[in-house]
Amino acid sequence: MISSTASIQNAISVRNLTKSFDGGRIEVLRGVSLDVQRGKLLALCGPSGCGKSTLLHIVAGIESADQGSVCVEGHPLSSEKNRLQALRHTIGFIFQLHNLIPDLTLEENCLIPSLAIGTKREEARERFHELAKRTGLEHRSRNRIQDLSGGERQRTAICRALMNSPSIIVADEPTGALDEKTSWSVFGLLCDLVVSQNVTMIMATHDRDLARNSDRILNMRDGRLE
Amino acid sequence: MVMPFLRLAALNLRRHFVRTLIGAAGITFGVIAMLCVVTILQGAVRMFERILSSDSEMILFEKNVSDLFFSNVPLASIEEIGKLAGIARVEPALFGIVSSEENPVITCFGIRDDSSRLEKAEWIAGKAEDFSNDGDKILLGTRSAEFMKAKVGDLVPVGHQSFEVAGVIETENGFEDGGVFMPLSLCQKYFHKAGVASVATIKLTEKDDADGVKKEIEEAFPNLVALKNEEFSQSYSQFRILRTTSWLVGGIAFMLGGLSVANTMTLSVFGRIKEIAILRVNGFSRGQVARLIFGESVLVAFAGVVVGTVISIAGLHFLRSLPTLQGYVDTRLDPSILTAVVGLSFLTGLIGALYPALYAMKIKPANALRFE
Repeated sequence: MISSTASIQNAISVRNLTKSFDGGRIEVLRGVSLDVQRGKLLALCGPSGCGKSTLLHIVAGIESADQGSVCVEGHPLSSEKNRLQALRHTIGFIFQLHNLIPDLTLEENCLIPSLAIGTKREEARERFHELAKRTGLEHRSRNRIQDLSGGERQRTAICRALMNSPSIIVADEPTGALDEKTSWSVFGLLCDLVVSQNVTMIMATHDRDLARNSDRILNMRDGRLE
Repeated sequence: MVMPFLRLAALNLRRHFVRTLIGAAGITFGVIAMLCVVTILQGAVRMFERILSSDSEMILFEKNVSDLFFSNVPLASIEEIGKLAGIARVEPALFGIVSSEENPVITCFGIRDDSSRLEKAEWIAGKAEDFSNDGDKILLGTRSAEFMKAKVGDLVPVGHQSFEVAGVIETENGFEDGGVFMPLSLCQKYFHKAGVASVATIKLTEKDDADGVKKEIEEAFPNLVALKNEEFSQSYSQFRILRTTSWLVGGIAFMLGGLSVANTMTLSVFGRIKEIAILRVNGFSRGQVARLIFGESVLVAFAGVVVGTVISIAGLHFLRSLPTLQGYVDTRLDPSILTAVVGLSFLTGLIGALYPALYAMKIKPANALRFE
């Protein structure tokens, strides 16, 4: 279990989120509200198609909601500009299928967020090496993505998500495509980083065992939190 | 900046090398077409200009004629103009085109024996005194002597008549070198243009007097037009047609090049929607995505410009070295044309990337990552 930080302020506040697709025919989120305290790990569980990923996308600012509001670190994600700022400075996103660019090296993939915000070369590389060392990827930094194992790819995605020192990590089934042993390894790494980097994390997962190691578990079903 | 945009752009292009090559080839062909066509046609214009100006500042011709071959300037008027203040010399020249059995086009220049054209020419064979105003012998340019296989003393067919060759001269102008010089009176008789010349070139005592001289001539001779050489060059319809044609042909070639870039960049964007979504999720703004696409396009254009320019220079050099074209093709590459073509290449690249960049900007990351 990840230890609580002293602060009780919410890093993430979601109020009455609704989202539908296909012209309103498919309702994915039906009035979701939640708060995540700073420095805590929230696990979001639920069957496939219940709306976990869509909720995480909206929380991260990748997608907009039909109705409702999202605040991260006190800033509403009401406009595209705010969402972009959040993606650049406040939130790091980790996908189930890592979503790395195959022809770039591990290091180049990790440097993309730094490129987006115009970080100086030396500063960015220093940050990368620090993270690569922590994630055990230092010796693989020049390798292309296709030369990495599944676990290494996911660790690369974690590394990339942390490049701009976000205060919030949003992880959409980060261990979903990994075997059990690698899942625990990656989850352990995430937990370590949450503690050492003092970040807040919201993670969607099917794995109840992993979820039990978080600070709080929320269950979703049919677009609602139970 | 850790991984400069251009490096990322270059990487994207390298990953789809053949596609990139096709895009760059479009620009390359555009550059080659424009540089070669414009250079050759502008070179032709320069040659005509030199023929017409011939060590003078102004040119005199008949008003409202579409082509100088149809212009008739009375010699009497030319004599009177020669007496005006500020004029150092007036030289009449009569132009005509004929053909003979083996040569479909022979340009004839009717000139006086004291013409500045002859003063500047190099005598390859024959003597200047054998070419006289009242004589019936002609001079050949080196190229016309070559294709007529004629030497001094030979009788050569020019149209329906034959003339004795008094000399062979080499001028700095390919068109003149491929022509036949006749005494003015003989030329008038031959082309049934008694008492007239096609044009007269005017050398001024003071170049700054051109406007005054022009006004004076046009008041005294309302049927004639006197223009400064540069004015004539800008206004003469044949030159305008040549210039317009060259830029039009080049422009069409560039349009095709632009389509090729657009096609390349569109395919490039369609082929990596997911990657663009990944960039967006990692903090790239729509503007940064557009800049990336434009950057790639600029790199494609740059490659096309470099290769196209090198090929064009080599091609023009090759044309200049061809014996059959020697003197006829002025292939000096004008820096202003090169600058315009380079500018146009990059503009074409940017325009070609417009739609792909707009498309890339509109990609919704969540949808792209969900469905790709």
